[in-house]
Amino acid sequence: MDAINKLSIGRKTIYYILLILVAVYVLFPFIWIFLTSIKSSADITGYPPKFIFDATIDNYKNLFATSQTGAAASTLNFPRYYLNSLIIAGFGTILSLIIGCGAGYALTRAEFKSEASRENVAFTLLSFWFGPELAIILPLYVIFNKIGLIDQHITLILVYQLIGIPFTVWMSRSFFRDVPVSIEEASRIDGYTAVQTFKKITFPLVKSGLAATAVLTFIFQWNNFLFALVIGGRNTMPITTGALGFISYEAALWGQMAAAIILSSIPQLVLAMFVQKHMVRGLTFGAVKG
Amino acid sequence: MYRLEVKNITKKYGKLTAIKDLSFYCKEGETVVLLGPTGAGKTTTLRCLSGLEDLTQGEIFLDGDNISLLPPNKREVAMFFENYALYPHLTVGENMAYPLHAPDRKEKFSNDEINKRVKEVADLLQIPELLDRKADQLSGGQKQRTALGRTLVRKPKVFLLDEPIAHLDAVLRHRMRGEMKKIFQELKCTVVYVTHDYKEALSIGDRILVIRKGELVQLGTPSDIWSKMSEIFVAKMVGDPPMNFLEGIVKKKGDHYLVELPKLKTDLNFDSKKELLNGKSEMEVLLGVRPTDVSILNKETTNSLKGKLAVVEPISSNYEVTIAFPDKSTFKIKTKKNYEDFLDKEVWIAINSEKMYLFLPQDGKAIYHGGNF
Repeated sequence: MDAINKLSIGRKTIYYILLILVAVYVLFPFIWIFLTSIKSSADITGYPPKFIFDATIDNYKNLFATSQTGAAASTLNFPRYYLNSLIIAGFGTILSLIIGCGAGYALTRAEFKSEASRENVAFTLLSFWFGPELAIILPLYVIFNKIGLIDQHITLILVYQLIGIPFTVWMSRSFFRDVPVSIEEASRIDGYTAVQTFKKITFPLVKSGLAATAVLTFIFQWNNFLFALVIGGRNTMPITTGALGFISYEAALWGQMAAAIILSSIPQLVLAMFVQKHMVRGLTFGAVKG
Repeated sequence: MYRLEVKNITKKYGKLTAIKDLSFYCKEGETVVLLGPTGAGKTTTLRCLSGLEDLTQGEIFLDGDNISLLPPNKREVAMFFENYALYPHLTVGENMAYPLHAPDRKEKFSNDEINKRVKEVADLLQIPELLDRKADQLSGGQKQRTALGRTLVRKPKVFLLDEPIAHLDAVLRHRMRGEMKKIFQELKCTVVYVTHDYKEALSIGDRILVIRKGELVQLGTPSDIWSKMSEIFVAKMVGDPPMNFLEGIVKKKGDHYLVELPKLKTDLNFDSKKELLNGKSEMEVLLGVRPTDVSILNKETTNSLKGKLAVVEPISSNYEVTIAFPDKSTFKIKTKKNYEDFLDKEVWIAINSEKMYLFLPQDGKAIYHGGNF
């Protein structure tokens, strides 16, 4: 913001108008969904769209009601989807962090034949992220089906590592790389073992970066749709695919769907706000040296 | 028994040999300086001593115990890193106390003891007001003192210092050089000190070890290094401006020797108690003369070289004078007197045969050290 404060008033006005336009463009869908979630069914489908209406929280209540109205809703179990999402994205994130950060640390510290081979290994790991999910989803389905792992939480947690590990490796590597090797060496000479050094010196220096990595990993896994659609089943359906159930041949429960989406975005919003500061730094992939 | 003894250590990285069969020792309370150009293997030697690098061959003894295979945290040495390697998330006080908190240290310290020691060292280094400051908020000089404090607070058996004042500005560097020497003497520290700066080496070292490409070139006292250098490499390493070299041929003439300087068409006479020619009638040599060991005259005298006074550079209280010889080669002289009036005029440089050095052009070995043999 310092840069903005230095501008003249005229330029500042232009700057803010542009910022507001961007904000409206980005936030409009979200606001629209929120408004939909507090409208009655009649208001939702009414034409022209209403901006002034009687707000209701029925849609939210219905999400948690045991017997839901409407044929399509009879099989919907929103709290279950929510719990599934939490389990899968939560444990998935923990697993990604443990494996990815270990690899990220090793990539910055281990001896390689040359710097080029170090970069090649790191980039190969990252490149798993670029692959289209569609390309691997069918073979994965066949494999998991054969070994009887379809519709289990562990299956989705494992598959989500395809999203999680490359990302955590790449991110954590950029944070570990910013910790000079010499301060770890100094700590070794000062009387600490490698593990004690990691605990006392390296970890405190990277923990905010790792927190940002964790949040982003969680968000990616929480938002995943395709893997959950194909490999998930009735018992493991997360909120992303679960929300689709509000649309059926008989009816489209737009209000409840909107309410489900609003609720499902709360964890991401809260987490993102906590680590907002570190997230910008993390997303530059270590390009900005502190 | 020596405090530190290094026996025939070799360190290889793949095919590259960083240290080759290096041996030296360090008595208790002695400061040994490793002097050499960039890439000579000085830092690698320190890293081997601290345990950060495994030896390819050889052994290291500390008070008679073989520590070659011990990990860094078990060796009772402290190391000062060239880039200071302070822990950025800790305060100056916490940085200095850090080694005392090490869980596996034989000696255990209470918090009171730790605070007392940190306070003592901070007072010694004149940084008590910085103790609560974060390490990443310090100036270069303050970082340097903090890093030095972190090594001193432990009272280790050997201090390993890697270019401890190389990154300070000139004034501070000069001051810290004196201060560190005083601290080492007061605390009777055993120090292995790495530098590429000959002035630091000569002023701080009790003994100096000159290394080149990981090999020992000369080990001696500062005065040995200055005036009894073993080879031309050492002569070039110490002195600013560096020693002047002239191509010549040594011959025996009666009971004394002479150096013919064919390019300058002059002969210089000198005496040597040592036989220089080993039965040969003549020998090619490089004649070395330090810029401080000659005088400028306006007329010819014995053992003088004729040239034109080309440049005078005033440098603080001295002048650096460049003489151009007829064959276009030059000769640097450092003098107290201003010779600007002689610019572009013919002058004679009188060479004191007591202060000239002769080297063999083939291998650079010194064969004559003026009046020192």
